[in-house]
Amino acid sequence: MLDETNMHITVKLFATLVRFNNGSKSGKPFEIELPDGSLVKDLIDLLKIPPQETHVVFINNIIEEHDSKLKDGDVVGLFPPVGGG
Amino acid sequence: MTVFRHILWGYELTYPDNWTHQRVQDADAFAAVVEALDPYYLGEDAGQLLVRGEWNWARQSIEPLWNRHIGMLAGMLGAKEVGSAPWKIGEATGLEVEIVLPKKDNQRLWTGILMRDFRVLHFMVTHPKEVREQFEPVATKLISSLRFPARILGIKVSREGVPLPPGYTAVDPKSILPDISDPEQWRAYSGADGIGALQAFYLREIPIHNWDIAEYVPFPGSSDLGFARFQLRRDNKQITLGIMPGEISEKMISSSPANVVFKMSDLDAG
Repeated sequence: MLDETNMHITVKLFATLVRFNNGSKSGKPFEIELPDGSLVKDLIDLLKIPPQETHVVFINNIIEEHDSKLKDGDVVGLFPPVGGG
Repeated sequence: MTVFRHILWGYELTYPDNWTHQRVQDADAFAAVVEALDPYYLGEDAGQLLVRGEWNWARQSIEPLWNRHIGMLAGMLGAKEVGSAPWKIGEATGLEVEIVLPKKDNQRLWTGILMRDFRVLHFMVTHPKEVREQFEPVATKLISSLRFPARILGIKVSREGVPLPPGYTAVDPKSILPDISDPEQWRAYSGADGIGALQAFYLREIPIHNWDIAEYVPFPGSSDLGFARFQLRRDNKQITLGIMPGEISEKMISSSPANVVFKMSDLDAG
């Protein structure tokens, strides 16, 4: 049974950040549960990603900031400072 | 009132219907009459606002950007007593100041910079001292109307679904990449906008058009690639998109005009 005080967020990690999800394919979505009222930085903490490694945050395809508030059903994309070379 | 929307930098300003807007090199100029875009014009409707965007992928803090901006202006204009005050419009934050010009100069000069995510906007207002009462309230209102809409409608896309910057026209890919052996896999678009503005455009528009950014190499940046590169993925399609400086020179900066090229490939093709 789902905990109604939690939100369900779909996360996509790109480029070098995939190592924080067992090295799965870049951009492959996975779901994570967070308490209501959580911010992007709480999600980043939960994933144990150093904040400086998340250079761009997309929420539902819009660029947002680390202190943006999340809501149930959001799709969050995290991107490092430089991906590729 | 008329809304000016900068599709690449993704901001909008609202200016009076009887004012004029013109692009001046890599900046956008607003004035009551076209003649006022000449800084030496002294009519009663003199005065102008210039806005210029800068790409700040490194998220450099506002202070060094401000010091560079103000140092350049002060040096050019022989200005003194250059300080700064915090400035904020919506979620954009920055610094502003009225620059004290030499007494022989009859102009007032106000400048400021605002930062929002990876974008920095430089503002400069100049007008003869005599027109301050008329000009200043209008310019203040214009600047205060600054907005960064999350979505800008009406962006054109290529047949492959890649967003295209306004004013860019399709050209022969070999005219930009003479060494490619598979020109049929490439698309190329030529235009006059800066590589910084184009990166701002693509970073915003690519996800909105349902492409994942699998890789991004910014320019300027730590890579020695010499251009900006995005790798986009959607389903089993991959597009490698390059934003290439129109001409290579030692003074190449993020406002240098750039072209857009991309290559299509199928991820299943191996």
